[in-house]
Amino acid sequence: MENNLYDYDFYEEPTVAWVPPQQQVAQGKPKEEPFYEYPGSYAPDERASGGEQRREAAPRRQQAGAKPARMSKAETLEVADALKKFLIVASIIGFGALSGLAASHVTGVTSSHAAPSSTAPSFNGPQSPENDDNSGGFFNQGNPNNQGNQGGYQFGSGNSQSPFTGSRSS
Amino acid sequence: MDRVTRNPRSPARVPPEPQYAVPTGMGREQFHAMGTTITLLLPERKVETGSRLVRGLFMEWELTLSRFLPESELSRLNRHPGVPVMVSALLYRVTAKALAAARATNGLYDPTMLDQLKQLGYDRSFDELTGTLPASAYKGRPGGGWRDIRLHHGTKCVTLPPGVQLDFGGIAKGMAVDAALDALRQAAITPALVNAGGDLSMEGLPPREEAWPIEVEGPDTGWTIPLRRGAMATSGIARRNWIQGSAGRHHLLDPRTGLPVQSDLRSVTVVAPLCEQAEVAAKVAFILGREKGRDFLREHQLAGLFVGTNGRWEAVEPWPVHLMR
Repeated sequence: MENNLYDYDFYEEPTVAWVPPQQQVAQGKPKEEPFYEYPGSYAPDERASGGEQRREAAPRRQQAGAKPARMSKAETLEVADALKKFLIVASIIGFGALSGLAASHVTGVTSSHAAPSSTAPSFNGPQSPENDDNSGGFFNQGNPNNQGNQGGYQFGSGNSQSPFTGSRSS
Repeated sequence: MDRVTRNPRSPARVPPEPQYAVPTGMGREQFHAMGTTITLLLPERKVETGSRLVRGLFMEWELTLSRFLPESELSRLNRHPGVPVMVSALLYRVTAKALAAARATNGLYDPTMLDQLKQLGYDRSFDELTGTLPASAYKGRPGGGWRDIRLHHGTKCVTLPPGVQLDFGGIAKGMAVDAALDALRQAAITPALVNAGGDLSMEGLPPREEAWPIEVEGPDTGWTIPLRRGAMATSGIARRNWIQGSAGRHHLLDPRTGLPVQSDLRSVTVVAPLCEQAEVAAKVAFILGREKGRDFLREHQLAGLFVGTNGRWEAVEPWPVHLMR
């Protein structure tokens, strides 16, 4: 057998006679519609003329590249709707929780400032030391710089001369 | 140095302070604010600076807290009961402190007695309260409205219950004295003494002195008490009293009745670490009277002097009775 390199078909594929493009059209072969793949989840209109071809082409691509199937428009809208609902519910719950916290803070401040409500003021005698926490420590406060033998104030020890100022009913 | 200046907003008929001695190396400055005379004793070289500092502070406090100025922030708050009102840090601070004092005294100090005071005729600045006021059918109404005041610290909102208005009275003056002394201390203007119509506080000692000699009023003559540190305040009926119809009135109301305290006391003077404490304690001790007032002061380890209208006096330790002359 003549070993002609040009006659040898390396891939053992059948040879196809070359036909000029003009003649292909002339022979009535349908023109292949180009396939456009859009990013995201765009689903081409199946009513279009090449719909069946695209439906067949998609599984082929999936088998070849092992890529997950893209969601259809309806599925995507469903997921978007679900996300929207989740966000709305989460917002309501979050707002409610914050409002509750704020309300409880107001109540806490109020209750810490107010004694039990009554129409007339109650008087239980002098404040006892164990109740000082309830009183907010008004009489316990004092300038740390002034703390001394007499709880932040101190008298002089001797008779003094003319006064420098006076304390009288104002 | 001894100067007196007038604040046009407080043109008060305030009796001038007696001519007291001025410590060596120090100067005296006086001005009118918060319905009374403010006296400062400051190092001679720093009188100008210190006076400007304290005058500005008292001006701000009066413009914010006066119930007699319709445009003051307190007046605006009092005009909006029932709704949260966002207030300045100063008004919020004084309100919170007044409520703390009310709690600490089980309501014997009550910053919500304004309506009762008005019913008794004290509806304008005391300096405008002249002559005999028309009689009133008011029979007294207990206080306690402070218990329903709501504060929101985060937003600095104050909500007054309907029908309740604030009047801080002496505690605002006491707090202003403490704040003025703090400001002087921070500006390194010491030694210093600030006296707002008898509510006074001090920092440091005058040169070559071992204490500040302070005159405490009595029925006829007073006593001179040496105070090294702390604050002193006097509550009494010697000045703010008036006639309504045929009834004698004064400004020290008993919140349990809503009427002026009926007592044989003329004044109570208290010494405490802070001026705001001395002011509140003096008022409460006056309301309680000699016996319970004495227990109250002892409970809080405060020194005090009760002076009766008949001249009889009684001291609560550690008041230095041995130094009274």
